[in-house]
Amino acid sequence: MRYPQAILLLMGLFLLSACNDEGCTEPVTTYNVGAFEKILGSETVISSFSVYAKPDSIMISNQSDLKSFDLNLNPSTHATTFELKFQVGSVLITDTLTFYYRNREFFLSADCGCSMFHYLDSANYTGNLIQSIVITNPEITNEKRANFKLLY
Amino acid sequence: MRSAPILNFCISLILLLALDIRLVQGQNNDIDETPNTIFKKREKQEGPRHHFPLFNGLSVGINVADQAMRLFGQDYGAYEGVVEANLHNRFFPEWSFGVGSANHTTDAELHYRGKPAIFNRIGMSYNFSYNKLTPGQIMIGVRYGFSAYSADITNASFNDGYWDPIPGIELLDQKFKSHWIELNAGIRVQVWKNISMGWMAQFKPLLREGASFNASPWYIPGYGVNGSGFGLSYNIYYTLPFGVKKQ
Repeated sequence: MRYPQAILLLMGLFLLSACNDEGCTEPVTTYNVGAFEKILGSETVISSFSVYAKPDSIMISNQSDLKSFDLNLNPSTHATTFELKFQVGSVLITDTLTFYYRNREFFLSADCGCSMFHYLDSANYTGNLIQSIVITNPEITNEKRANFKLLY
Repeated sequence: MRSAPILNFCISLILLLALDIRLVQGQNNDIDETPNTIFKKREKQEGPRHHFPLFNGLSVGINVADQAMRLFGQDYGAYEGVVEANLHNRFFPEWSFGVGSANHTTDAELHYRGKPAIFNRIGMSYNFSYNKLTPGQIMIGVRYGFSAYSADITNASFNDGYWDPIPGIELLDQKFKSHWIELNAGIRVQVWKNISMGWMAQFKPLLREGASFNASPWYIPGYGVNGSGFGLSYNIYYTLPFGVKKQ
């Protein structure tokens, strides 16, 4: 074998080592993505809101953006209840919101591991401020999309 | 995060191909000037388009890339063979086949066991130096690959940072069907009598990943790691001693 040919073949082999893993490059956590929408004629102005899912652990703290917020559903159960505290002027209004859903473990890759997908079956709420809920997309995967709207 | 290595890979490939072309062309000038001149004269006189017969031989080969990489600790790969016809020394239709498997454990102790599964590829390569009497060939090719396979995923976990983590997730016997296209470019050189060797760089867009209800495949037999998009094959060929025009 000629010397340059041997080099070429060895270089080809060397190039093989360039193919390596690069770590996790996709989202693993899944979110139930919601938004607030005013009912026609409503004069309520929400200045901020907070969300609790566990008594001593806040999930969302004083968020003023009402167009999109993310809720983590409990991956170990089939229902999660959230406590929403709305600041409306100087008044604090509390609602609870419960989602019922099915879970689906999903293996993404060796680097990312498993995610937990959900399918929303239904939801209910206390009507202190929230007037209605619309599930717009029941599939919750690691591709973030709007899943529900809260009308107030 | 993937862009830097891919860029390095592409630059390396372009440089290597440029080097190959120069070397192979250099060989042509050095070694085969006289026979090529004879061909050209003959072509002028007789006007044949191909200097090699339609059926110019049959080769069998093996791809040793994965086995080589296993020596460096790679925990997946395939045993792969190829049968290839030589038409006019220009077109090389081929069928490659093999068995691929994976046995991969991550730093987080997640275990992915891709069970041994068969894959098939069909396609064709084109030799740019088809009318030249040279021991080297510059080739491009296209292939279609398919595999149906299954995997067990054990000791996975999920942690969203808010709720309690879920350890020990097991997803057994996940079934996948994937198919893909390979666009290849590379070289091949005759190393001794009927033995030749060569590598091909591959761009491999997945046509269908074929995820199951609970999993995406991590390793696809015959394709490699899902999402890699690029690969290299390193083949050793034996040309069967019939139907071959002496070079």
